Amino acid sequence: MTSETPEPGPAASRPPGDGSEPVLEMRGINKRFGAVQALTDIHLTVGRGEVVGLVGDNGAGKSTLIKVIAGVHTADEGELIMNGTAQKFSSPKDAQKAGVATVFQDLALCENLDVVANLFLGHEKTRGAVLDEVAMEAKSWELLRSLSAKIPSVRVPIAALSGGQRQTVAIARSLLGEPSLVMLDEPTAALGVAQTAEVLNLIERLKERDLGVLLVSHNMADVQAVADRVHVLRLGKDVGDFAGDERTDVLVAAITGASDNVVTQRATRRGERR
Amino acid sequence: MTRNSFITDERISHEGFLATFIRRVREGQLGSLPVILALVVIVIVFQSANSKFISPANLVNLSTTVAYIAILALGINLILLLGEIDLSLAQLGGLAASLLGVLVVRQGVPPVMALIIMLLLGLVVGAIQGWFFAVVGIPAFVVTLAGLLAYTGLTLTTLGTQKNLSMADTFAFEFSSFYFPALWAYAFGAIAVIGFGGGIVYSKMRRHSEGLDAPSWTSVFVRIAVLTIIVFGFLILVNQDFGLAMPFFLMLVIAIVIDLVLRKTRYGRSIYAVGGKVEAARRAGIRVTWVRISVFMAAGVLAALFGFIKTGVTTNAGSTLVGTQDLLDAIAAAVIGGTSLFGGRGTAWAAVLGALVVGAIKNGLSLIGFNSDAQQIITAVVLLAAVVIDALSRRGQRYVGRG
Repeated sequence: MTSETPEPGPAASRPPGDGSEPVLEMRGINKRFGAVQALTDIHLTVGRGEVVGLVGDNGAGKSTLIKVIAGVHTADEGELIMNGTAQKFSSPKDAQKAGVATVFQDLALCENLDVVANLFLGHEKTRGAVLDEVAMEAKSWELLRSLSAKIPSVRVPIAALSGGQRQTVAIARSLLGEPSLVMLDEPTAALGVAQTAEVLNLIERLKERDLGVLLVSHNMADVQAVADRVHVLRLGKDVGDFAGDERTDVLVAAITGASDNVVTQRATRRGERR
Repeated sequence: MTRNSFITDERISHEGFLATFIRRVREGQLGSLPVILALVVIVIVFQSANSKFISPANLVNLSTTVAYIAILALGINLILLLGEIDLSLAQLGGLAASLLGVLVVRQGVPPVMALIIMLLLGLVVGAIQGWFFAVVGIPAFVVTLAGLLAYTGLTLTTLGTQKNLSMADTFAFEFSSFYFPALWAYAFGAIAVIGFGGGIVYSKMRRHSEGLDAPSWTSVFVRIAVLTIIVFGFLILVNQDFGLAMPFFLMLVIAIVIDLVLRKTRYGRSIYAVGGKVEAARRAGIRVTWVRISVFMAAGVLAALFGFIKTGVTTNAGSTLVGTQDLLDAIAAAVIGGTSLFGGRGTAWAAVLGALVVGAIKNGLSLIGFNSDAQQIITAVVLLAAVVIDALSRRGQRYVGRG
C-alpha cells in the first residue's frame, strides 16, 4: 500500500494524464558563486505541453536557475535530464543542441534588420554562397502563421515593430532550432495590455505544439493566466509547486516567505486556540 | 498577397503605390530617394548656369574625379555600417601611392609587383587598425586618428628628401587614362542591364511560385527601363568624347561586388548585424571580432586602390597627393548617400551616389567660376542636410507600428 503512495516532490506534480517522460527534469541542483549559495537542492520538472511558471523575489535564484538550464552556468551538483537523457551543459550551444531555447529579457534582436533577417540571424539559409531570401521569407510566414502572430510585414525593420511584435519575433526565432523546451525570461515586462495578451496567446500556442515552457515572470496575473503549475523559489531554495490558478495571496506569501514568520505563526496559534 | 493577408495586422491598410510612397516619406523609410532628388536638383542648377555641365567632355572629366572619391567612400561606407569611423583611410591611400611611386619610379620594381605590395600594405594596415579596435578595444576614432598622423609622417619618410614625385608615363597613369572603345562600353552596359534585369525577374518569378508578395510586372519593367536609360544615356554621352574611363569602370565593378556581398551573403548580413546590435550578433553566433577586423582590412585595400587611382589621374605621388579634404569628401559622400552614422543602415550605392553629389558640386562650381572655398561651404550644407535627414528618419522609424 505504501509503495503506491506517490512520492512527495516534483514527481507528484507531473501533469495528469500524461505518462510520457518530462521534457526537463532537474534533481538536487546546487550552484555556488564563491561564498554565495545561489541554488540549493532544486528539483524542477517541466512536462511536454506544460507551462511552468517560475516565480520568486529578486535574488531568489530564478536567473541563476535558467542560466544553468541554458548552459550559461554549470551546476556544481545535481542532475539535469532532458527528454530522458542526463545532460551536462558546458556552453549555451550544448543546451541548444539538447533542445533548450531561451528568449532573454533584452530580446537580442537587431533593430536595423527586418523580421526575416532577425529570425534567421546566424543560421541563414543559402543556395551556394548566396542567401536564399525566398526560402527564408516563406519559412518566416509559415512559422508566424502557425503562431497566429500579427506582424504587418516580415520585411519591415524590427525598429518599426511594437514591443509585443518584437517579443513575438524573438519567440518565433527560438522555435527555428526545433527546441523541446522554451524558456521565456520576463516576456511581458514593459508591454501594454493588448501586447501582453498577444504574448500570452503565443505561450498557449507553444503549449499546443507540445513544447515544455518555463515562464519566468514577476507578474503574478500573467503567470496565473497561462501556467499549468507555478514553481516558487525563495533564497535559492524550492518553496514548492502550486497549481496554476492558485490564489495570488498564497503565491505572494510563498514568494516573500510571509507564510513563515513570527506574525503568521502567531496568527496560526491563535487560530488553533479558538 | 492574399495567401498571407490573414496573418497581417488588420490595422495595416493595403494601399496603392502613391500612398505607400507618401507614407514612407513620412516614416523616414526613404532609402536613396533624397540623394537622387539632390542629384537631379544639382544637375538642373548647374546645367542652367553653364550648358557645358552635361557635355561629353565634362562628364568624362567628372567620371574620373567621382571614381576615386567613390572608391574611398566605399571603404568608409563599410566602416560606417559597423557604426564606426575611420579617419586614416585617405592618408593610408596617400602613403600607399607614395610607396608605389618610390618603388616604381625610383627603385624600378615591376609595376604589378609594386601594385600588389601597395594593396598588401592597405590590407595589413587595415588588419592592424582593426585589431587595435576589435581585440584591444580602443575606440576606432582614436586608433584611426593615430593612423592619420602616423601615415602622414610615414608618407614623408617614404618620399625621403624629395617630396615631389611624378607618376607621368607610369603604368598607374596609363591605367587611369585608359578609355574603353565605344563597343566595349556598350557591351558592359548591356551586361549590367541584363544582369540586373535577369536578377529581378528571376526573383519575382521565384517569389511568385512560393506564394510570396512579388513586385508587379509594371514595377519590374519600370526599374529595368530606368536603369537602361541611365546606363546607355551616360555611355552615349561619354562615347562622344574619350569614352568610358577605366577608373570609373573599376569603381562600378567594386561597387557591384560590395553591393552583392552586403545584400546576398551571410558575411554581408553579419556586417549589418554587428552594426545594428553587437550583443544580438554575438548571441546569434556571429564572430564579431573577425567581422570587424575583416571590414577594416577591406577598407584598407579600398584606401590603397583610391591612392592608386588618384595618383594615376593626377600623376602626383608626392606628399601633396591627399589631404584631409579627401577624407572629408569621402565621409560626406557616404553620409549624403544615406548611410547612417549610427551603424547598420546603408548600401554600397550610397557611397557611389554620394560621391556623384560631392563630385558634381565641386565640378559644377568650378565650371561656373567659384573657388574651392565656396565648394567646401556648399558641400558642408549638403552634408548637414544629409545628417539631418538621417536623424529625422531614425526618429520617424521609431514611431511606426506603435499604438
